[in-house]
Amino acid sequence: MSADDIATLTLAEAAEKIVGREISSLEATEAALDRIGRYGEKLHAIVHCDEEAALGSARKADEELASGNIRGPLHGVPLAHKDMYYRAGWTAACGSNILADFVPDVTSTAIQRLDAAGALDIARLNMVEFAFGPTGHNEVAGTPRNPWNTDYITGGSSSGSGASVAGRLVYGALGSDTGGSIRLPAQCCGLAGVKGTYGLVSRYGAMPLSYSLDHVGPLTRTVKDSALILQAIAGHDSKDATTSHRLVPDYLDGITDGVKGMRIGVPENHCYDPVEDEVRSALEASLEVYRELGAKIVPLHAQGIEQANRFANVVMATEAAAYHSKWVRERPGDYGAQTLSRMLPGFYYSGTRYIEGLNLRSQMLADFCASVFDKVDMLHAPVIPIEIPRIDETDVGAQPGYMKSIASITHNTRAINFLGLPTVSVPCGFTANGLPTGFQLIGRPFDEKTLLRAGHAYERETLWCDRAPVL
Amino acid sequence: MPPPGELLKHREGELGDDISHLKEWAALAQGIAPEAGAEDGILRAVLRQDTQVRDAAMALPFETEPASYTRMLEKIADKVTPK
Repeated sequence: MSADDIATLTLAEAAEKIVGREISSLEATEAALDRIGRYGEKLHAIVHCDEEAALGSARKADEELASGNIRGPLHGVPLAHKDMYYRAGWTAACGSNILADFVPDVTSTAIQRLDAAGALDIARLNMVEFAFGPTGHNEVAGTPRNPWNTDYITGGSSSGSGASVAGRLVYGALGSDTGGSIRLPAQCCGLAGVKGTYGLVSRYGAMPLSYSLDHVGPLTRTVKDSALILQAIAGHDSKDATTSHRLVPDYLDGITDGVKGMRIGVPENHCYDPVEDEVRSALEASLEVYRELGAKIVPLHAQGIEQANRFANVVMATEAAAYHSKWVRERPGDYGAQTLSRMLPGFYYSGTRYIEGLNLRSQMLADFCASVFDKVDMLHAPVIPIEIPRIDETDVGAQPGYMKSIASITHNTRAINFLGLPTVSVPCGFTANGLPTGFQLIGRPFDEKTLLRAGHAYERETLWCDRAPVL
Repeated sequence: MPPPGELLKHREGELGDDISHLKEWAALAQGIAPEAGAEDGILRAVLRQDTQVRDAAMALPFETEPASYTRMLEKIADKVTPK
């Protein structure tokens, strides 16, 4: 196989071929490094990559394999992660000037678990400054470029994760999702992404943005690949009190069982309010695929989603403002204008409103679940309801309506963070500008397994995930 | 945790008698301007009630604490997931 052929395998295929000795971890890592060298700068996706260390890890993985030691299901597979996942001794600038020299002395739980599963950690990936922005713009560290067309946004805040995985630089990457930051780059870059239930994956050792809304999860080329990474990182962690003690199921077991008999809800309120025609057509076509696969499509009213969306804004800005308070007072000039403008409202929301929002969350969750999951097994909804915009169209002050288009980007994602429900983002075609579009499946608390099964059924049937951008 | 009364005394001791900063805050930020002579009593009552509420909140499982929300998700998962 050529280096490019190796790099364009899915994560699951690469892992299988490495363990089967059809390719070596060294070959997979060299293929990744080759593409990082050729396209990393063009995509502005890589923050740092120690090639020698990566090659050393790959050789060690091959040696272990030769002696019969398979560390785990991701043995020898090169991954890279958003630059907010701490590894002791590695810089974690979090896309900022403020933390440009920050070297943590701890390693995040998610990274430790990927290490334990055998994955190689070969680079840190660019991101929106402090993960606070949905488009991918970063005024201080540079803006990553969409591999499908470098004039277009990658989505954010896991912008470098989206660009790197779609550009076939690495097989998968961790992103984080506080208001949509896994699902948005997944849609913009034509990838699968998973934001699990709040409490499924430990946030220990990951930079916080809003601790009531932050989620850790993967971006990959296929839903099955996401299941592999999620399997490795999910589960209770004594270092993160918000993690659940529930047993993590085997996400791959039954993933090919299809959707026959499943009930898929389509919200009649909120989610489709502003959907552009081409995106709507792709969404309707995806529902038709599910119908043909034997699922029942059920229109319904998703109670409280509008309010959840509004409260998410208050909670996110307030918690971010509290976390950044010292730096905003002492070093405001070191922040990009977009980040600062998103954070400042958090200093002005009243404490009462913040507490009300969080206290109402449980009731909103109960109402939402009763209105949806008594009738269906999951909800099917748009992620970004408009065609993916260009970078210059969504820059500060680019056009009078830019705030409106930015607001529409997170219209369908924020509320799900507020409710803490699991969601899987799946690509479902392309719009006329050549950029991908997609949908999200939203499930019952801790029912990622059903969502992964439904997402996998769709991608097997349509094969959108097999298309790769030409760089 | 000390009983609520003890905590209240402790906080009042910490706060002292100088409430000029509270007067300034109330006038500027909250738009409250009690009549002369009544302001000490009013603002001290606000302080006392605020302390009592916070003491009571500390003795309860606090729903806004994110870990509690995880428990809520677990509870609802059990309710809405078919057996």
